[in-house]
Amino acid sequence: MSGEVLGTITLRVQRYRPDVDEAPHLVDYAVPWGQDTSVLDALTWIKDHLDPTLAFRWSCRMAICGSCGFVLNGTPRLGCEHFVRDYAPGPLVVEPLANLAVERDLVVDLEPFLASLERVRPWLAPDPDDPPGETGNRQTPEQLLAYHDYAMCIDCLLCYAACPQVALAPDFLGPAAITAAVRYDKDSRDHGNGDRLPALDREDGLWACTFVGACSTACPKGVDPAAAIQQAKAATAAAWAAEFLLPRRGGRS
Amino acid sequence: MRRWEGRTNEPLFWALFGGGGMLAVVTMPVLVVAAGLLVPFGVFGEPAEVHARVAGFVTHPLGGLAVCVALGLVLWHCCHRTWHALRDLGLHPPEVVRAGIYGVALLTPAITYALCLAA
Amino acid sequence: MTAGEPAPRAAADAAAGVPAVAVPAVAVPAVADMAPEASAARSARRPHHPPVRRTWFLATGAYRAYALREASSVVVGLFVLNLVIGLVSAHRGVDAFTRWVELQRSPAVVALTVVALAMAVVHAITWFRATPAVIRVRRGRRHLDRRWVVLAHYLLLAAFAVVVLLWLGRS
Repeated sequence: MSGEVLGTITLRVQRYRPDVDEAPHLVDYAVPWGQDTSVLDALTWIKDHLDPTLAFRWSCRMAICGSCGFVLNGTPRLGCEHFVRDYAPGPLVVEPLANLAVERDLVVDLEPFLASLERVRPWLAPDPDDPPGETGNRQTPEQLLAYHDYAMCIDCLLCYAACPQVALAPDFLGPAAITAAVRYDKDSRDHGNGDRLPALDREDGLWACTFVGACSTACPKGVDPAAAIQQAKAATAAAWAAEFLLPRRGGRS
Repeated sequence: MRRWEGRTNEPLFWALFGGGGMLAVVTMPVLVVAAGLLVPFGVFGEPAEVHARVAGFVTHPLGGLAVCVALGLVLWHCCHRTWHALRDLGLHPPEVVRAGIYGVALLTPAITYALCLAA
Repeated sequence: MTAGEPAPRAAADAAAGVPAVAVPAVAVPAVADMAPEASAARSARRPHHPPVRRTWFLATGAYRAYALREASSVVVGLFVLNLVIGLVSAHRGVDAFTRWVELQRSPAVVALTVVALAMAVVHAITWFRATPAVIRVRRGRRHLDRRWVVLAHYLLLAAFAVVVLLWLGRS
């Protein structure tokens, strides 16, 4: 690390090697830290100096890639934007993201989330009657506002670690996946609302959410997934009513 | 209605829950204070006096109906949360329990109104 | 890639008209040949699924607040049942109504009423704080500030209070 060493902290890291360990367990490491030592830096120091078998995801080191999500002292946080100095004197408990299956050490299984994301069709569906073609899509700043915050998601899954329904309801899409659906539904260039509905409006799907709100608290990018989900509930209820009252025109085949 | 795997009536349930919630937050704090504390402790006079004042609206068939529907909607809100709270506790109660809980919200105003008309 | 298989890239290049680069054919041993006993690739994956604790809602302050909010709805529902009985009593006549009012005065019911009031307040305040997430009003390039949505709810509550107090209070 650059700069002077201000102290040594105990990092209590959850280790799990499926070929060697029966179950996950906590291991203590003594890590020197300075003013700008991030938690990610501390984990890297462990890997470089104490135990090269420690596995964890990371990439950009600046809270934009979404790779380094952990649970720090019980709170889901990005390792790169939280600093050891704020946890001193420690110990700092570092665990993998909660509510997701642990593959090894601090690495979790992302496949269920990626499957949920794919189910909500997270892409711009063009107007079948009027494809953009030469003119392209035009959008005003006011139209951008409708979905802008929801597009800031970096898929870090801190919201999944925070949300109790992710653990309680196996088929729940989860905050980030539903927010992705809302991001496209509210985009004026998109015409895929009807196609996303079956993924959202189903047993669990979207409805397992009880607005605990922990997801928005955990989100490092200010996306407010809880709001996105409530908006999706309202829109889905409106779509249901439209179909109920106007069976032919309300629903789309 | 279009049908797809797993589609439920939850959108309707949630909409009623939302409506009941709005009604509950605007009315219940006031009603608890008024009916639970102010009226019983004589702030508005003797029970007979209060009855004379409220009977006009409350015992009128449409007035009574309005009150029953409103209380029913509030009850729907409470039952919806009760059902979801059971699931939050990790329980997976069978559908009959769900029917029973929401049934309370539907039957209570219905039975109440029937009793009111019979009185 | 097993030994003897033509390099797919070379074939693709040839199809695209790209001149092929002469690459000496190297016999690449197959994975199966290198470890005879592991004829099928064995995965060492053994994902650990963290168990859900039954008392998860007590684990953090935010979860406990959520549990209180949900519980408040159950209590409010119970008070509605009390009101429903009062409604039927009013229909039954002055005597029945008087008996219901006197029941509200009993210490046990007063205690329950105080709890119900606390829960009704918790219920209302948590709902007020939540509604801006559902009711998002776009005004040009910004959203309407949350506090106006919350204020609107408080005004509705105040208006209802005034209506009820006037209705009960007029002589």
